[in-house]
Amino acid sequence: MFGKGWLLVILVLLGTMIALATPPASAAQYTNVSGLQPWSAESNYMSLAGYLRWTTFKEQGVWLSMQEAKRIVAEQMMEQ
Amino acid sequence: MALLGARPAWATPRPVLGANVDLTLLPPEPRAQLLDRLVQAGVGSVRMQLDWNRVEPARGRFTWKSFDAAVDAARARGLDVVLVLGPCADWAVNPSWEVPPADRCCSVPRPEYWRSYVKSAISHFRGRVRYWQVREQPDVRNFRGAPSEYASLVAEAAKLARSLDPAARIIVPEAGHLDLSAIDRFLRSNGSRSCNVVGVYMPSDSSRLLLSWAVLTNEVLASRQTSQRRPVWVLGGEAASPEQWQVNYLVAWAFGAERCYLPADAIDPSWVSPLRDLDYQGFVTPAPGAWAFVFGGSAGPVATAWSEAEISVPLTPALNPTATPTGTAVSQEPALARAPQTTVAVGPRPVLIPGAGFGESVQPGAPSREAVLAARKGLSLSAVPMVYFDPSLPERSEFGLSNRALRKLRGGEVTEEPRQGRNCVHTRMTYLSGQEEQDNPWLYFDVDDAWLYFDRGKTRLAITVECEGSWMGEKKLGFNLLYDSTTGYRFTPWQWVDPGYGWHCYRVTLDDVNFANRDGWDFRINAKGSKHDLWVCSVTVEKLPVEQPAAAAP
Repeated sequence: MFGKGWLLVILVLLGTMIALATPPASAAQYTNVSGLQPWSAESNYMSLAGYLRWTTFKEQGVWLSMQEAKRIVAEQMMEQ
Repeated sequence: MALLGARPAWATPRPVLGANVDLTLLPPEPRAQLLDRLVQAGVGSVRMQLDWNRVEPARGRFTWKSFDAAVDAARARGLDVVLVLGPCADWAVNPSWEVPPADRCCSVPRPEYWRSYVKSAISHFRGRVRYWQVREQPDVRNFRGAPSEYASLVAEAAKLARSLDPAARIIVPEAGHLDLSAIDRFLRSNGSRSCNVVGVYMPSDSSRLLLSWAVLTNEVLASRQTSQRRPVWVLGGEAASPEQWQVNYLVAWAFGAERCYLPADAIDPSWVSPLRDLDYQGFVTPAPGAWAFVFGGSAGPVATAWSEAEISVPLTPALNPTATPTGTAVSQEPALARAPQTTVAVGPRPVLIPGAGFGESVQPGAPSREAVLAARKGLSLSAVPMVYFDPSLPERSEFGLSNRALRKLRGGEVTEEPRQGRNCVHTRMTYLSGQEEQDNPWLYFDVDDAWLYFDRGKTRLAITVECEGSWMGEKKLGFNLLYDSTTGYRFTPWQWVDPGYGWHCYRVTLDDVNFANRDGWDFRINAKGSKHDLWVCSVTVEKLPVEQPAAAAP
C-alpha cells in the first residue's frame, strides 16, 4: 500500500515541517533595557516595556504582549 | 604520532545519532518504514515534542493514544525516545497576560497546570521514556517569558521526574545557537542542579562552529567543577546546506558530545554507515579553511575532510592513504573521495578517505581555540592593539572590525556614502509613525575572533565612534552601544552628539565585554531616538591595560 514514493513524500513533508519549525538564527535572550531611562531619547520616548517590545519586534519580528514585556522588564530591574 | 594499533586514551566514541521527527504525524505503515530506515542508518534515538495541546486538549482530559503508538513503535526497534515537554497548552496560559491565541504555545503556563501535565506525562511513560526536555528552547520564538519563569518550569519538572521515576533525566536546552556566555552562566547558576544534560543547537554559520565548540569544551565545561559539569547533546539547529548536517555531526563527535540529533531526512546511510565502529582520534588542517578529522577503526584509520570552498588538498607522503599504496583513495559510496593520485578534492560536503592516517601530522584530541584560529585564512590580528572600521581608507578599511558583512541583519541595512570628503556609513530611519519596520537604526560590528573572543570580561575595551555633528542642533542626534557583556546584551549610556557639521569623536570604555559572535555580531551602534540619521566615518576598538587592584595598606 505504501511504496517507496510514499515514504519519500512523507520524508520531504517531515523535512519541510522541521525546517519550518526551526527558527532562523535569533537573539537568545531579551535585550536588557533595565539601565535605560524611560520616556527619553535612549528608550525612543517609550516606557521600558514598550521599548523592549519594539526592540524585540525589530530584532525578531515578534511582538510581545505588553504584559509579557512588563514581566521581563520587572525581572531585569530586579537583577540590576 | 602513530594512530594505528591500540585505542589511544583521547579516542572519542561515536555520539548516539538521533533523529528529530514527529512520529505521531505518520500512519502506522509509513512510520514503520521510516523507523526501519533510521535504524538501518545507525540511528539510536528519536526526539519529538509531547505536544501539550494534543495530549491534554482540556484540563485534566488526557489522550495518549498517538504518542503511545509512536513511542512503542520506536522502542520496538531498540530506539530510545526523548520527549520534549511543551509547547504550552492554549488553555493553560494566564488570561490576564493578554497573549494572543496564536502565541499561547510560546507562553508560560500556570504553575499548577504545568505540574499536572508533567506529572501525568512522566507517570504515563515511566519505564518507556527516560529523557525529558523542558520546552524546545527558551528563546524569543519558543518561550515568551522571563528567565526565572523558565527556571521554575525546569525546577518543577526535575523535582517531579526524580520523585516519580529515579531513572528520569532532564535536558535543559540553551536559548541560542551555541551561546557560550549563556551556557557559562547557566552552569554556574543554581538552575544547573535541576539539569542532567545541556542541550545545544548548531548555528547556521559553519565558520563559527569549530571555534564555539573549542571554547565550549576546552574552556567553559573544563573550567567547571566536576559536580557542575554536564554532558552535552546536540538537539538540532540550523544548516545552511544539507552537507552541513554531516559537518555538524562530525564536529559534535570530535568535541565529545554524547548525542547528536539531526532532522530525519538529513540522515542517510551513505554517509552514516562508513562511520560506524570508528573512534575519533585527532585532526589535521591540510590547508587554510580545510579540516580533516582522523578516526581509528578495526580496518585502519579513516579521515573525513571538508572545506568552506572547493579546493584540492595535497596528499603529501605523510598524508597518503595507508590502505591504498597507489595513493588513490578507495571509493565505494557516493560520499567517498574519488581522489586523484596526489590530491583530494574537498568542499563543503565531507569527503571520506579510507586509509588516510595522516601519520605524524595528526594532532590528537579535539582542536583548541588556538588551533582553530591558526587554521583560518587571512591575517592574524591577535597581537595588534586596536582594530578599526574606516570606509575612507583605500585598503583594509575593515581591519579586524567588520560591518559590511552584517548589513543584512534586521535593522542593520545601513548605507555607505561619501560625506564631507569622507566615506561614511549612515543609519536609515523613516521618522514616520507606523513605518518602524522599515527603520535601520543599527550599525552592527564584529571584532576579529583572534583579537578578542570570549574572555569573560578580562579585557577592558575603549570604543571610539567618529561621526558627523547634529545639523538640527542640541539634543537632536545621539546614540548608545548595545554590546555583548558577561551578563548578556547591555546598553552604554546615551551619548548626545554635538551640534554642527564637523566631525566629532566619542569614546566609551567597557569593563565587562564578552564578545563571542552571539547572533553573528559583538556590538551595535543604536541611533533610535534621534531626530535625524547618524553618519559614522570611523569606529575604533582598542584594548586598555587592565587596572590592577590597589595594594593593601601595610
